[in-house]
Amino acid sequence: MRALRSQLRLDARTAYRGKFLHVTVGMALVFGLLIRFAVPAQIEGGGSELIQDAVGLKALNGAMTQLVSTEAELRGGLVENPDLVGVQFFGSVPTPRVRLLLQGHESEDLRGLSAATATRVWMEEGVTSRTGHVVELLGPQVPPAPLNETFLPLLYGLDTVILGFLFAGVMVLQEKAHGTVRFYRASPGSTSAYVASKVLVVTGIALVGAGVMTALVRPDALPNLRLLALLALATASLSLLGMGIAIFYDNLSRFFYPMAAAGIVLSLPMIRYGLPSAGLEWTRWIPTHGVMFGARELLLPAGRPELVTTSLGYLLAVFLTAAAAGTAIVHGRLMRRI
Amino acid sequence: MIELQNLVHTYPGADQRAVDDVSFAIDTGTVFGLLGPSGAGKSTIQNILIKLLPVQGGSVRFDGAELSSLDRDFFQDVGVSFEHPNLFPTLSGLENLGAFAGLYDATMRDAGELLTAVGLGDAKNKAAGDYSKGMKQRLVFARALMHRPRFLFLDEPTSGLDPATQETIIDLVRAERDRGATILLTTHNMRVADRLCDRIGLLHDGALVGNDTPRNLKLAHGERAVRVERRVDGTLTTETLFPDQAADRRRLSELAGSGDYETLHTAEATLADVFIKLTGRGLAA
Repeated sequence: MRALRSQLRLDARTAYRGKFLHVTVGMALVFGLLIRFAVPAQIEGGGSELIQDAVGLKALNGAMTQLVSTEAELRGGLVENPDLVGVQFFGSVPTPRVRLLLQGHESEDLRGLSAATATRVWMEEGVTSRTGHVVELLGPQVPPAPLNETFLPLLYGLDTVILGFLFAGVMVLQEKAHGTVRFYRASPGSTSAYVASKVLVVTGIALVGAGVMTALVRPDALPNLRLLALLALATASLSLLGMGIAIFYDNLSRFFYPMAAAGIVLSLPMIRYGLPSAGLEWTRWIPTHGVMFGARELLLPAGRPELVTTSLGYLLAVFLTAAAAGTAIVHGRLMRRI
Repeated sequence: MIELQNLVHTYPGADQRAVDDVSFAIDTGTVFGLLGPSGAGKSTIQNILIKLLPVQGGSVRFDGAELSSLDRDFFQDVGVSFEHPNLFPTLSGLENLGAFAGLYDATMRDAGELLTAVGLGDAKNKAAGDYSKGMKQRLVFARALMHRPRFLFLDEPTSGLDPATQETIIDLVRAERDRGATILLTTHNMRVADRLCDRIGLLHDGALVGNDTPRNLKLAHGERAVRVERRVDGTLTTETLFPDQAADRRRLSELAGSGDYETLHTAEATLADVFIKLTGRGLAA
């Protein structure tokens, strides 16, 4: 414990002198101010729709939309992704039918737009009058989420968590370059203290950044322990990954390539976040997915509290795996290799 | 006491052994100098002794305990000064000395006093990244002494230092020895080794080619000589005579008896001479 405290002091000091905190807080201020003041709370536009066509409508043939063939698939898809609006086409030309399946947080504009789109589709089949529709609410009716606030969970994933990856990698590379890791190896310090200290410092810095953004956009969410746990677990996991990868490189310019690759992969859940109909269900296995979707449910509830629990559970498993693997890699490569 | 028995080490992919069947012992409270040119195996031996490299063959014992059986607590008693300074460049000299202080059980020395002792008192609050090479070398040396280690490994501690600062470092190493520390000094500076070491091991291509006190090495492998300076027709000439040879001994008696000389010096062999004699090559890096 004493060794960890000592190493923590050292890492915190070198990270501070390396301006890690300055960069993090600076970025958080820029992002927070942009979300708070530059991005509007509402914009005109449609949502993403998941459509079940039980008729074989011409207008949907080859349309750039997500089609499913059965009602079970439709309902399953809507449960899976709470940002989707379901549209069910059935009946026939004399008696066209449309059912809108809404999550409960959609705006009136979005409902109207979906209904109008459905009418337009039936008109392609020769229906001349406006098509009536029924609405089914899948969850409790809640106010629609302000658009600008939906950027906050996105930035938790793209800024807070990815900074953890970068900072941990850079810290290891700097210590390799300066030779200080060699001196550490000839000291009583343990591998676990070395790893734990860096993870704690990097996670702490990233959380300060997340705190600044949250304070600017949603100050009421600051004391949320589950949000803190989501961010801490994801950032710590990614800092372990950054450390584990950086060990295999000798300088920052070479680390740039895995850094860029990791940045791209970790950003992929953003596509699903912004464009729910894009599918990409496999991105749920990327840790930033859990942060984005779990944090959104905490900040902007859409009736899916289990998203938070499953995200926390998954991130905990990722963290435990990353901790074991990261420590083993640091011990095997960094602490043994001359 | 540190004992090495038949130590061998080969780097992966290398055809030749970096350390080839090396055996020597360092008594408690003495300075042992490993002398040899770059690539002779000095740093490899030091790295094995501080567990940065594994013991591939032979054995190493610290106070009777096999090195491989010692856990990380072993480093509580070890101080290392690496040849290439490994410092935190954004931290000051004082902060660098305190950087790993929390890892040791021993009561630490006063960092400020230690920095003053190595001539860095005025620069103690300056970032180590702004230090000159010599200043970094002194800071690394000071850091090795912070926790009063029982075993001290010093790799070229006087490299790049001016003569006055070299003297300071030599005095500090002697003080550590007098305190009871067991010290391994690796260097190719024969002058420093000669003045500081109780025993010297001469390394050549990974093998130990000599191991004795500096005086015994010079006596055993060097030639006794006397250098005579005298004026011949107004011109100063120097004559080197070897008293072990009968003719030179007679000549020396004549000159000494006649008083026909200006200066008369014994010209003792140096460790460099000994090394050249034993290996056929010099000590230069």
